[in-house]
Amino acid sequence: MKTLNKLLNNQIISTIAALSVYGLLVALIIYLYPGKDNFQLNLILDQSDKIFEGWLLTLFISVVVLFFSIFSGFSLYLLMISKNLFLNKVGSIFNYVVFGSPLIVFLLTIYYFLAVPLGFEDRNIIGIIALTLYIGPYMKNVFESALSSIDELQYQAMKVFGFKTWQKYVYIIIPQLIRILIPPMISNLTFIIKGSSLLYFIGVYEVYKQIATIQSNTYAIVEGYLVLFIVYLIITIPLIALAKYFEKKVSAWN
Amino acid sequence: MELIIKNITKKYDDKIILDNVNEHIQDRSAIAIIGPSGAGKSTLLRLLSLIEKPDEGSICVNNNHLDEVNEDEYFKKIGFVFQAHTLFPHLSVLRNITLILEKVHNIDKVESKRRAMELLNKFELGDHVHKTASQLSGGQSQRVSIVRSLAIKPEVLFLDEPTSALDPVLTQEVLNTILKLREEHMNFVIVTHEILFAKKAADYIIFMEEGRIIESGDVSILNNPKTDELKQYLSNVFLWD
Repeated sequence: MKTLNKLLNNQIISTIAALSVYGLLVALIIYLYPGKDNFQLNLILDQSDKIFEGWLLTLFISVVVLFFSIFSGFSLYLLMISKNLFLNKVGSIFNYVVFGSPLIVFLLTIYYFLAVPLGFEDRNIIGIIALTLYIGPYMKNVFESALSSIDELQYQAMKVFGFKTWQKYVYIIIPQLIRILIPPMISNLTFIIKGSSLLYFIGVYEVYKQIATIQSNTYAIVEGYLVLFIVYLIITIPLIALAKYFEKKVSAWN
Repeated sequence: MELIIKNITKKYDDKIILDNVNEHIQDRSAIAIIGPSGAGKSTLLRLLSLIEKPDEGSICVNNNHLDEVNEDEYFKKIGFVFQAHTLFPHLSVLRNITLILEKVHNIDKVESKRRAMELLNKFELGDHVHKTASQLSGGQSQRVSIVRSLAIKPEVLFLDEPTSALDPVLTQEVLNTILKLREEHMNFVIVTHEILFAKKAADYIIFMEEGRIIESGDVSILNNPKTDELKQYLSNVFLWD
């Protein structure tokens, strides 16, 4: 028993052991699966160029949304810390609305109540705008916690050493912020990638939409979902691992 | 150094922290401000260093009239050591010092590094130049903070309870560093709870209670206190002697 415990505490062995448990689970599902004789993965994989195209669009939209949400998030942060009560309320109401609504509902609302009446036609752009707005409050939280992690004493020290305002930002604040911001930014990117699957519902040809189209042409429904599942994990798992890696680095440095 | 403090009053919200404080000190190089918590010691130090401004009254430090002086110019002439170390966590020990010399004091890279290394070696921190604050002990970080303030060759160094966040062993380490300043005739004003240290390191004592200076004078007042308040304070501090 003791040796078994020791073995399972080894990084590599425990990872392999855990993966085998999931492997067994998958094998069991395949064994029990009623339509397994009809399972034709190649119907989906034959059109891998389409899937890859959708996958690239998913990535592209997500990265663009991440970029713009830095601005939407920071603007929201500025509204929330503003001493002007009106601006404050504007920010805070937006916050409540976003945190209170499911992404799919928010997307469809933006689409049908803003984009359609205003005559916006490019669905990719509508999708990017809607996601950017939705991620804004999450980004605002990231900025809030990053800025509060630079403690008051440091600001006093900067002052008493005679740094000019721009020097404080360039040499002390921003270099620290960038390091603190990297892990939550990567987490937000993962969140955006997952959320972008819902753009399917407004007709953006991202990876879900592409696979859904193949599904309806080939009737390989289950196979399609399996591929979709794996395609997302291929991007998100490395990102989650990367965020963890940077988190460790930042905490060691604090 | 010369300190002239005239009719200083400072309030936070409506609470009076300093209540019409007056003091005139000449030709002293090591001043210790002592007294119970909440006496206004740190506030007085922050006013002397222009981190904060008084509500009323005026202060003059070595011919710098603080209500007229250019803030940035004054900051270039003084050093300030806080209760906890304030090393910038993303920079190495060496860079923490040279950044200030280069960017604020416009000293070239070579000279900045030379000056920093000389001081770090002098204070036995030469082995730690490439570490960041997280790799140092609390005492080492605080000593680097002191060295960083010395590097700018300040006219006066202000120290605000620099050992209050440290355990007794590390406290000794930091106090020894400050004693070294005394040997080198550095002008400093320190707020401290370490009375034995104040006796050894200071040549002038200011005793405060409830926002007022109750007694001040040569360090010998610690042996022969005149006021009941200081007698009482000292007897409380040395309860176990």
